[in-house]
Amino acid sequence: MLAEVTTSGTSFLLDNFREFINLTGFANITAGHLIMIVVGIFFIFLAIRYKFEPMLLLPIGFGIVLGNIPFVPGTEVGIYEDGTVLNYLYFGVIKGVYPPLIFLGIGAMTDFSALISNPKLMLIGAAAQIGIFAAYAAALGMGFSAAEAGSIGIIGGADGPTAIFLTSKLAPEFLGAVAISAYSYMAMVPLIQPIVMRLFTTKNERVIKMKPPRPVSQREKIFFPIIGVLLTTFIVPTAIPLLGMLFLGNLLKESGVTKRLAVTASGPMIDIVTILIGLTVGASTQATTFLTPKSLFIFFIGACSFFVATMGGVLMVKFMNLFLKPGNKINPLIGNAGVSAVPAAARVSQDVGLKYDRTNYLLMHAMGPNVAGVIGSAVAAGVLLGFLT
Amino acid sequence: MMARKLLTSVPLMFAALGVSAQHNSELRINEILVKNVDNYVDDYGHRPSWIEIYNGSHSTLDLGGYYLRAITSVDTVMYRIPTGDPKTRITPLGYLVFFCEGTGTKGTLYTNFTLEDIRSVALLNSSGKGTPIDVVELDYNSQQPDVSIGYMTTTDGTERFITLPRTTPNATNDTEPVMARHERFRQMDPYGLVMAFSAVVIVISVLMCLFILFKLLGNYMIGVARRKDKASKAAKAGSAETEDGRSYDSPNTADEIAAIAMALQMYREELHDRESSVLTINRVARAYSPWSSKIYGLRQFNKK
Repeated sequence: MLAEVTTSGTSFLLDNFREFINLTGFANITAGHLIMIVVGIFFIFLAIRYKFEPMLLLPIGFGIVLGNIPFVPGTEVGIYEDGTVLNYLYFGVIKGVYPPLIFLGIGAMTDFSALISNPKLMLIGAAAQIGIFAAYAAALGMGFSAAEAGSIGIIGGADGPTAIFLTSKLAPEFLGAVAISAYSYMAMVPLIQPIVMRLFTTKNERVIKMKPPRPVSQREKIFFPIIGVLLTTFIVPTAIPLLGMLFLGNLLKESGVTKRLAVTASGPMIDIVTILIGLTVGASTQATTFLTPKSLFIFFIGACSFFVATMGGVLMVKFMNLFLKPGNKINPLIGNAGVSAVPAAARVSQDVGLKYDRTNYLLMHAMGPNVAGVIGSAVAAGVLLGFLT
Repeated sequence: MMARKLLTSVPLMFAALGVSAQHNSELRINEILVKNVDNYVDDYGHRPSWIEIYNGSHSTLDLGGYYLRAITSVDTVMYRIPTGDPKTRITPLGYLVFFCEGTGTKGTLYTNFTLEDIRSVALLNSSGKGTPIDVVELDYNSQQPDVSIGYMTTTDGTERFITLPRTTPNATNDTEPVMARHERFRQMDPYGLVMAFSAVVIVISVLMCLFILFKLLGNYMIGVARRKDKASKAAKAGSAETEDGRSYDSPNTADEIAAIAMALQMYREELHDRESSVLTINRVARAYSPWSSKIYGLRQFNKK
C-alpha cells in the first residue's frame, strides 16, 4: 500500500516536473530565438561599448532579448497575446500614441534659432527626403504593396518616431522590422554618412566657412511654432499628430510662461515614452514574426535610402551654392543633416568639418537643416498617409 | 480684470459649443426598402418596410430625440426616436435600421408610420423643425418588391442614390469588391514615380512656404532691430560715458556674444575649482527624540 502511494506520488511529482520543463524557455528554444537574442545583446553591446544612440539601442536591445525568450503560446506573457502587460504597452505603438508624445518632447528641447536665422536651410531638409521616395520606389520594385512600400520608404527619413507612426497606420505587420531598421541606421549615422559626404564634395567645398547666424529674437521664436503648425498642417492635415505635438512642445519652450510643462515634456515624459517605445518595439521582434526574408529586404532598402537621403541633402547644398554669392555660400558638409536624425546628423557635419579645418565649427549651421529634416519627414509621412489610406 | 475674465470666457464658450455638437451632417438615410415581401425579417418574425441610417463620422452618434418624418399623399407623420436607449447610438461608420410597421409600440426601432403610399422620408434633428439632416424623395408606385434604394459607389467612383442590386440592411451597400486605395495607387503608379514627384513637390513647397515666410519675417525683425539700435545709439550720444567714465559697446555679433559667454563660463569654472578644494566638516549634534528614532520607526511593528 505504502509502496503504491509512493509510486503514484513520485509519478505525479515527475509529471509536474516534466510539465514545468516543457514550459521553460530551454524546451521551446529555436534557432530563430537564439539569433534574435544574440542580435539583442549585440544592440546592448553597441549602446554600452560604443555609445551608439544608447537611449534607444539599449531598451530596444533588451526588448529584443525579452521578446525572444521562448514560451508556450497561451501563457499570457507574449506581446502579441491579448491582455498581457507587454501587449498593453505595445498598444501605444500600434495606435501611434508614443511617436507624437516623443515629438512633443523633441519640440520642447529643440532650438529652431539656426533655422529661423537662415531659413533657406529648410530646402536642404526638404531635399534629403528624397531618400524616402527612392526607398518607396525600390520597395515597389521588389514586390511590396504600396502601403508596405510607404512604411519601408519612411526609413529614409531617419526618424524613428515618424517611421513607427506611419508603419502603425500603413503596415502594422512590419512595425518591428521598420522600427529596428530605422533606429539601427540612425545609430549608424556616424558610420554611414561621412562616406557619402566625402564622395560628393571637393576639398575646397569642405572648408567653406559659413557666416555666423544672426541673433534671433524671442518674438520670432514664438512665431515659428504658431506659423509652422498652421502652414504645415493646413497643407498636410494627416501630419497633425506629429507636427502638432512638435510645434506645441516648441511653443511651451519658447513662450517662456510654461517652463514647467516644457521641462516635463523634454525631460521625464520623453524619457518614459522612450523607454516604453524602445522596449515594446524590441519585444515585437519575436523570431517567429520577425525572421523573414521580407525583414532582410527592409534592412537592405533602409540602408540604401539612408545613402540616397544623405546624397540628396549634400547635392542640394551644392545646387544652392550655384546661386549664392561667395560670402554666403553653404558648406555642403551640412547637407547630410537634412535627414532628421537629431542631433546625430548635425554632429557628423561638425566632426567631418573639423577634420578638414580645425577652426570651422559647423554644428550650429547643421542644426538648421537637421530640424528642417524633422519637419520634412513628418510632412512626407503625412503625404504618404494621405495618398495611401 | 473684468475684461481679462471676459476674454478668457469667450474662447471657453466657443470650445464648449464645439464639444457638445454632434456631427449631424455625417448622418444620412442610407437605404430604404419600401415593399418587403420576402426579405429582411424583424425580431417578431414579420417583414415590415425599413429605413437604414448611416453614421459617416468617426465618432458615435446618438439618434435619441431626433425625428423621422414620413410624408404620404394624405398626411405627414413624425416619429420621435426615444431618448435614453443605447440602441439609438450608431457606432462610427455604423448603421441603424428602423422598421416602419406603423404602431410605434413594439420598441425604439419601430416607427409609428408605414411606407404605404410614401412620397418622402426625412431625418430631422431634435427640434423636429428646419432643414432636415437628410431627405429622400421617392415614388411609391415605382418601388419593386424586395428591391431597395440607397447610396452606392458607382463604377466612376462617385456615390449615387440608386436602385441597389441587393438589399443590405445593417451593412454597406457597396457589395461589389472595391480595390484598396493603396493598391489602386500601385496599379496606376507601378514604379512610384508619381508618388515620388508629387510628394517631393509637396514637401518642398511646404518648406519653401516656411522659408519665404520666415525670410520676410526675418527681414522685418532685422529692420526693427536696426531701428532700435539706431535709437539707442542716438540716446547714448548724449551720455556716451557710463558711471565709471568709460564707454561700452553692446555685443553685436554671435561671435562676440559667444566670446563673452565663454569668458564668463571659464571665470565661473575657475571659481568652482578653488571652492571644491575646501572641505569643511562640521560637528552636528542632535538631541535625542523618540519621533526621530530609527529604532522606533523601523523596527517596531504595531501591536493590536
